Amino acid sequence: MTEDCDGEEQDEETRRWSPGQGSSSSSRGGGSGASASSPLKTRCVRGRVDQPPPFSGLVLENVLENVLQFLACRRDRNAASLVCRSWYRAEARTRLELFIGNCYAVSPARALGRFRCARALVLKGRPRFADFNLVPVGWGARFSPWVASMAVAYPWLERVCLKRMTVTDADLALLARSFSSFRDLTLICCDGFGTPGLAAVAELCRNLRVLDLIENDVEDEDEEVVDWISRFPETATCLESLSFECVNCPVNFAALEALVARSPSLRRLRVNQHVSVGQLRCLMVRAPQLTHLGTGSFETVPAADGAAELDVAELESAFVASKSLVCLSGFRMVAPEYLPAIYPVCAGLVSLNLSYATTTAEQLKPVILQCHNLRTFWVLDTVGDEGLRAVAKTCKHLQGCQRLRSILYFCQRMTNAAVVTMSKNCQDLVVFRLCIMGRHRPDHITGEPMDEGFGAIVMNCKKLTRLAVSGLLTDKVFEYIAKYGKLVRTLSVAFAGNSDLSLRYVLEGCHKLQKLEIRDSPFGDAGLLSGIHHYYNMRFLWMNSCKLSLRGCKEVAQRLPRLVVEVFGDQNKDLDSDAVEKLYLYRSLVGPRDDVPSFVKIL
Amino acid sequence: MSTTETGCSSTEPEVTGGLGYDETELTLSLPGAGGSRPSETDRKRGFAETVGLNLGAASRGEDCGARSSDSSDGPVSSALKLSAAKAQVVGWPPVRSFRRNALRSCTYVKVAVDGAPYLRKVDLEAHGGYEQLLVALEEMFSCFTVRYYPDERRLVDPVNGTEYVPTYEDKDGDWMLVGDVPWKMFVASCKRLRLMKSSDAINLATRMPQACTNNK
Repeated sequence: MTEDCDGEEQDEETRRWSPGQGSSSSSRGGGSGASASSPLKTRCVRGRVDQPPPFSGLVLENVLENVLQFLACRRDRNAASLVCRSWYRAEARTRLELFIGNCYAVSPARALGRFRCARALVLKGRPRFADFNLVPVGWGARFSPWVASMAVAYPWLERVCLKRMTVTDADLALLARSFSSFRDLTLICCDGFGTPGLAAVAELCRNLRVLDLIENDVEDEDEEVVDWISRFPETATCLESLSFECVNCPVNFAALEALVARSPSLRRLRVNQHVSVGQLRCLMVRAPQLTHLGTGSFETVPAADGAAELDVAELESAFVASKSLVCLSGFRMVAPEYLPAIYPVCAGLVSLNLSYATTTAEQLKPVILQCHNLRTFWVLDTVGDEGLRAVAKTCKHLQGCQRLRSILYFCQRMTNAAVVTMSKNCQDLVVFRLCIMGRHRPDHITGEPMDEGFGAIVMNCKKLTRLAVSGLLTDKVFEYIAKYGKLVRTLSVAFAGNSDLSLRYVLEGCHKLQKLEIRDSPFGDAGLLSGIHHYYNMRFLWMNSCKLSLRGCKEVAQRLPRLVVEVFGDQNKDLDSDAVEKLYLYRSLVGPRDDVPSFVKIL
Repeated sequence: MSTTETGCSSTEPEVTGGLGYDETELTLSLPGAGGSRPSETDRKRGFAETVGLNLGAASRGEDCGARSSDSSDGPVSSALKLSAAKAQVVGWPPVRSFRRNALRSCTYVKVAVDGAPYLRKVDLEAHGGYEQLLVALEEMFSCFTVRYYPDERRLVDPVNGTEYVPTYEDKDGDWMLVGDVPWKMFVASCKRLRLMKSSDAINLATRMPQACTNNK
């Protein structure tokens, strides 16, 4: 069992983390920071664990390291590390980015002990269903033990990216104090910290280039809000990216404007909804070099500004001056009269996110008709069919959907015919997530289950790696997925299937399956046990509100000693005390974790 | 709860059985509004509306009447009420809270639990009444169960038997027991929630007896 060989497609956030990109951006701008592009010059002392290899072996390892430094992809590295002990050691010494898809699959001591020279850590914690309140508070995934260990083991640490972890203000303060070369902090869907932690990072990370806070739950007692923006160094900064859309309290605008003014390298700025459109204009004028802009509210906030309402022409001239903009998002309130101000940049846009704006077709059309280069587009259904037609007509890179690689679509109801059409038009799909919000909804024209539609997706989209199904679904759809979805790595199931057969099909047929999350589906112990042969190859299995019993879960735990099997959930066990409400199982090199809350039982 | 042949989830409550697809219709209607049930051939409902107020049929008029007389009901009907409340399914549709908050005006309030180091937030408007709110709290702090008393409800930690009384701070800064005032009044005036250990709650303002029948 190797270290994580996860197969998930990379989010935009994690894609930025491939070491190649890291090196190229480190050569720009001032500041120190050991360059990731020349690991040979900064190779750290080798730690011997076993007998030193013979001399010729030593030479070979040196050569090997010179070669392996060019290997960026972690799956390639995992493979290389399995060749022999020499390769294992060489690979361990040259791995610069440590990706840990499940923080409980390995311990800090073990991970840091093996990879002694890493400069970047990507760490993921809670299972994805935690985003939907299915994982109770206090379950775990704390950053504390990791940052404490890294403070000792990685004084040269440069980058940290955390997803669904609990990060405290104390953790952030320790991070800020411990790593003098620290440059990139990205927090996605995390919680546990507030403005005090941000203040520590701003103040102490003198080489900070990236501070991206994405959809975190930033907790602040009203009395404790800290003016963190003011804590950045008063000299010119190295900031390249600053995103704080999820910080719910207003920031000190004067300080923000001054910060932007003294950050010549700033390329990405995403502000929260407390920044008015007038204030946004000020920021844009200070930073015409921006490539990514999150606009905040995009409306006038009467009390905050104090000044007169912003003239649309003034806003438009700010966009005219922003010749490098390729990615536009935000629009949290979007006063429609300001939307035309973005016309000057539309032709250059590669990504447009209007998913927080209730834009109508009339408002959208003049915008979208100019967005010839759009590759990524988020929008709400308020634009209607007419709006989407305008999109299809203009956006050649989305047009005919032939090149579409990812669809995430929420609807009340759907037909098999429409899904089949999608499968034929978009054969390059890598991600298909369809959420029919009405549970157990059949095809609203034929009354049939949605099996055939999703079946067509797995049949025709031969590159599909991520799939989420919904609507009325029988065991049949899982038979299709098992038969055709040979590359599927992530599968999300809700309110679907008839029997254990569904689960058996998937676990026996989807050989690449890494992550399986299931809710409210009638799958029981027999289905669970049919995956025994495969669980060591997966990152995790999550099941809630199914038909599992303690007996079945215990059997899995007994037969697979390197699996951690957690059960938890409702205490309403009057009817059937053997019933398991929530199951989360995952492979681990270190056995049961020691921070288990009272409501979790590890079998 | 048994599984039907069409593969309905085991959490589909039998108490509201027979409602078919209407039961799963996620609509804008406020609790007690009764009003028009959306028909199957109805127009597409907006994403923002749907995500914004995630109310199932169980939160509508027919249940409100039942709830107002819950003061004398025993555990059986409590279970029924709980399962009716659970027809509003946790975490469905699967939209992150950041997006949910962003798409609508916020009646999110913080929930503190005595003795616990973390804060959570709950959206008052997302629930049709006190029952559903308690269910949501129960789900959030999954170690707790709801215990029904004649005049109030408490949350219990079965591990150590500690009882928590849901309390809230209103606009005047007073700490009140949850359940005292009509639901809508509560939503409008509640600034934050606190699950107070019942041993500490004895000093809270006592309730007017007739307040129970106003509860929704």
